[in-house]
Amino acid sequence: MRQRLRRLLLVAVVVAVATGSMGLQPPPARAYHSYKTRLLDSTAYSLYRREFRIGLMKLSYGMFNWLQLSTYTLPWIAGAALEQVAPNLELKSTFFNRRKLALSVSFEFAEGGVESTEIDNGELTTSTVNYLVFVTGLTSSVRINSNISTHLGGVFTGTDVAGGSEPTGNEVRGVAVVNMLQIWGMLEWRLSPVVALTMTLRWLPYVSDTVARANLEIDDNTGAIIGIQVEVFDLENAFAAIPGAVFSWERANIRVGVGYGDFFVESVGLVIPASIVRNISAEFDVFVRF
Amino acid sequence: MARLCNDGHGEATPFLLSSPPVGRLPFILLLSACLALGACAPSLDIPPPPDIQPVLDAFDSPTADVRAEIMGESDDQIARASENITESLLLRRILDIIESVRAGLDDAIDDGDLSANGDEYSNPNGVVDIISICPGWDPQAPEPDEANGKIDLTMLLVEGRISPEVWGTVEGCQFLVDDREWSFDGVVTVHFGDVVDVETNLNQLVVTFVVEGTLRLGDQSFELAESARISGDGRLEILIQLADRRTFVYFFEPDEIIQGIRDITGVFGCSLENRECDKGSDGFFW
Repeated sequence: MRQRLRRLLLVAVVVAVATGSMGLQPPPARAYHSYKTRLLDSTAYSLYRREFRIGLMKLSYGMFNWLQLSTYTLPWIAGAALEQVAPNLELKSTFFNRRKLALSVSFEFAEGGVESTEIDNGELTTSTVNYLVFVTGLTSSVRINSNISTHLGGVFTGTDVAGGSEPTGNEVRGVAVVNMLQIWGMLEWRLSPVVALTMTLRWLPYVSDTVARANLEIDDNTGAIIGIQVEVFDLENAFAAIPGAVFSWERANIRVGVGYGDFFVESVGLVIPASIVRNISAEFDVFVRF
Repeated sequence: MARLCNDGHGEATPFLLSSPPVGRLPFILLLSACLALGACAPSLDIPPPPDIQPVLDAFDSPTADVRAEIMGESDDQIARASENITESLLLRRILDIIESVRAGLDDAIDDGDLSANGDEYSNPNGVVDIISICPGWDPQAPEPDEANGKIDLTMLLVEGRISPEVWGTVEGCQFLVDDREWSFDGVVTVHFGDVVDVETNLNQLVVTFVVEGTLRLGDQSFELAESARISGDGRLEILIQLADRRTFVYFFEPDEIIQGIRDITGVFGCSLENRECDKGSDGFFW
């Protein structure tokens, strides 16, 4: 696992250096990071009307100048692997964009299932867990000057998890709920029309206890509803510091960043503890915008 | 409004900055509502258990010095309470329900970790709402019927273990004992003495009950307001509170041949049938 992550880190650095060196040369065509064409991820900006973004991680469409519809690809792919539809939709509205300031709100829901297989007493058991995630966010972007912008945002994620299959012998079935608040800030420095360096800090100041409710059926006459409140992961004050870069050509864009800390999964607003990802946090997408 | 904007690199680009359309306002309000709704932290309403500490203290430290006069006033109450409890099997029925849930929890909890939805929750705190439909008076009834009444109990989990108190209500609960039709309406609090591991069979413990309600047998009706203890070996203890609030405990060993009193002076044998107590040199009849 560690070797794989090291290799990933190496590839990311090589890609960043190679494409960065290309980007530092005079642009072959017109400017790509421009006053009008702003970074879309972790900023208050959204696509303009009838603009598309088609990427590995995210597909977006500008419904209006102030409203962008997006869907993340990974949940669809994971859902397809499980032969289960896993819809997700994000609405992002840049409701204010004047002078140096832009403000946006966003709302996303994602629904799907995760399958886990365990060996229990020598028997292979498979269970499916269905999830429903709501993510709401508020973002501000300030253009300090033509090269430097700052972006600050807060994201609130509500998660509802339910057992989707019949419980095994020692299992109870029900739903679990956990909420979390993420604050983040990103500094953007445009080195050239092609290269923008970014430094992103993410912080999780609040994570609710997990509240789970489950049914326990004793016999035909007797049953119980179990409600528990527990701290599943010690995620409070989880953080990540991620230096990165966004390379933008006429249509193609690459966003890459590798940093230290917990792994913030942007597509669902959730966090994977640093202990699981060996303190490596990453951002990556390749997309075209037209 | 069309205006010229700097593209960030010295190039002037025509760029339209439109006024915010009114149409986006509902969207923003909707999102704000979602944000506000999402801001409600999930929380669990864990109700406080009834305080029966005075009853537990009274069982452990009775305050009355029982004499003939006291037994003359109390013997009917003791006999009636004993009869109601032993013949209706009400307390045993309630304990059996709790024990069955305990066994279910034992299956679900391993080393303090509760398995649910494929996840494991370590040492959870929480609440278990138990509902049991009463069996009714028709032993041939094919399915549970809420018309037979129900027992609704609350149990707390403390770091994956069972809190000592379980409490709740019994609503019109109908049940048969030896073909006799019993029913009970009332409230009950059960106490195990201490926090209990989910592996522990509750029938092995000394369990305190505080029961208040109406017990019916056929056309007969009895007001029940008893504090009693039962233990795994079948011993029954009944707490008697006198008018002046002093207390003593009357106990029945499993075979009911051995009976006795625990009071402020100690433990001594008695017989309700013979109306006598062997209190050493202070033995008495009533």
